Amino acid sequence: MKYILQYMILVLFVGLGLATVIFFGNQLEAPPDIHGVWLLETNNISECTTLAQLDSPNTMQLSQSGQFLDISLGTSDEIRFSARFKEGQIDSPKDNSIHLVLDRQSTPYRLTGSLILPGCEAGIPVSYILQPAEKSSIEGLHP
Amino acid sequence: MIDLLTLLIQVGVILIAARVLGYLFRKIHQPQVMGEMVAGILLGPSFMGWIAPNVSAALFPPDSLNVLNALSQFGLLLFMFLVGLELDPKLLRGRTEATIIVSHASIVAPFVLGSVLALYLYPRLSNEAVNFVHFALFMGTAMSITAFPVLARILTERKMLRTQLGVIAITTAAVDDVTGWVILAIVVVLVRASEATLPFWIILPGLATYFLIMFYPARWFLEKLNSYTKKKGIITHNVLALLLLFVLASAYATEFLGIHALFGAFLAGVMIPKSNMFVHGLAERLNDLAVVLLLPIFFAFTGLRASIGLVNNLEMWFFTLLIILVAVLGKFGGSSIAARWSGLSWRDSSALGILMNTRGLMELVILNIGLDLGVLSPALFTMMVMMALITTFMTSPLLEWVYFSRILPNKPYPAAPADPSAHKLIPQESILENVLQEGEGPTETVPAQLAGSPSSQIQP
Repeated sequence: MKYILQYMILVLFVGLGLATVIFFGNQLEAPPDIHGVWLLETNNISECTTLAQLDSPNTMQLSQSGQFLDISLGTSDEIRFSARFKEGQIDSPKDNSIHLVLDRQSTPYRLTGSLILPGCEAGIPVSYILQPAEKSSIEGLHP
Repeated sequence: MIDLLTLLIQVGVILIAARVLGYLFRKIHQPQVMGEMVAGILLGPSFMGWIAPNVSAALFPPDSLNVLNALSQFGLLLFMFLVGLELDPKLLRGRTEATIIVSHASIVAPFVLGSVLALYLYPRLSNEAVNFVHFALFMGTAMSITAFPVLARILTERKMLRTQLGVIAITTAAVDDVTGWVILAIVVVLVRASEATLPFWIILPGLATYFLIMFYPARWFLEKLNSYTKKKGIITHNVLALLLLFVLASAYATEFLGIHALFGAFLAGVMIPKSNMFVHGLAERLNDLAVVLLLPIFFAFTGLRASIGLVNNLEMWFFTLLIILVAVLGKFGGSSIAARWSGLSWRDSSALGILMNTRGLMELVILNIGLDLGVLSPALFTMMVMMALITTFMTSPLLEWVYFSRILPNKPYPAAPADPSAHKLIPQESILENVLQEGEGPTETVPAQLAGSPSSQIQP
């Protein structure tokens, strides 16, 4: 009898627990999926020597863990920021080197704002557009 | 095109790192596998990529990693087959009500707590491409895993397999193992359903057919192979090849049906007749290759995917601590409270909780599946890997502190009474006959060998 009671409590615990979690969880909102390769639309790379010297100055790779972003410019990983996505905006809190606003109405998504890099300390206006996802054969590898 | 030179250097470096770290960890009374897991992390961007980025880039160029990935996946298939091989269904059949409660509580508590934690982590560490229900179920499953091989190794090394606590721990871990993989199979099917190439009306009858084949014709076939082997007195190369084909076919079927190849390999191991000759013979043949060569490659590959550099601010470290806290609270708390409620002493209940809290490489297997499915983000993957390492690392010292240091040096550990009715928690003695024989024989249990016990070298 004791074990039946214990088992019933266990079943009740998991049933109620999961139902509650799913009820509240379905009301949660996670950040949009912005992981991937972004391509620079603006034609002003020459305004920033650091950017112009990169292997592929037009590309920005964005690795996303929810609100937390790991951004690298070009393909050689020479310029890398840790940034945060909050309320539709990407900012790098440590050095303020990046400020981008996400346009979710645009298809595909578009990021517009500015980059502050050595050689263009005043900031260079940029606009990036998300490239169609190319599923990596191995997920989660870091440069 | 495979760059053979790069691959040879990669495998060489991985082997050296795994053996050296394994040795060092054994010196501090940790399982060898713990050192091998840490070696894998050190070879990745968390350490080598950070202190010597050029060396790291030269050693592990992105183009070369597909081969390494394939080798590590093959190693995992063999490993899961060996885990299934060791899992004796007798352990699952003869349980008392108390062990049922303890084993299920040790899954339910961390599962529910992991799902509750998902409420907090989802808006912060996931994105809208991931369905919340999938995320919550996956977090729950990842929290409920126990490393059966590491646990069996600790029990064997401490000569605890015959004790009351050892019996309950090994039985509970075996149940956890099977239940955890079943839950994960369901979660994987749910996640893959959205992108499945096969519709549900093919998957479900397909799975039913697969299980029918595994439980009837396949079992009959394996029994015939077992009888043939007994007559011959040795597992011949032809029999070994047939068994490997059986593992591959089972893995292919589950992968094709949208679960995961690892489930097929695991179930193939479970289906093997549990005669000592068959189990030991197969383990002897496959164990060394899987444990010494292929598993370290899997650890290195996991290390290449985990980057502690992604956990780069106080808030992220807070999430990591929270994950570890919830993992320990759920597994240790759930197991020990249920054990105490079922009649064990507080000390034994705590020791059981500590043992069940060992996650080891089984957790790494599940986390890699989560990352592959896209349910876990890179930073969350890294945090969960840290949780797996820390919960495994804490087992030995905590067990020493809570359990062994309290027992007088010359006093034997409390053994299981001969009469099963003397204590309600003791299952029938015959249930563990197989495990106990192996634990006291010249060789150790297969999981103990898998966990890299120093005395587990099998002579050919």
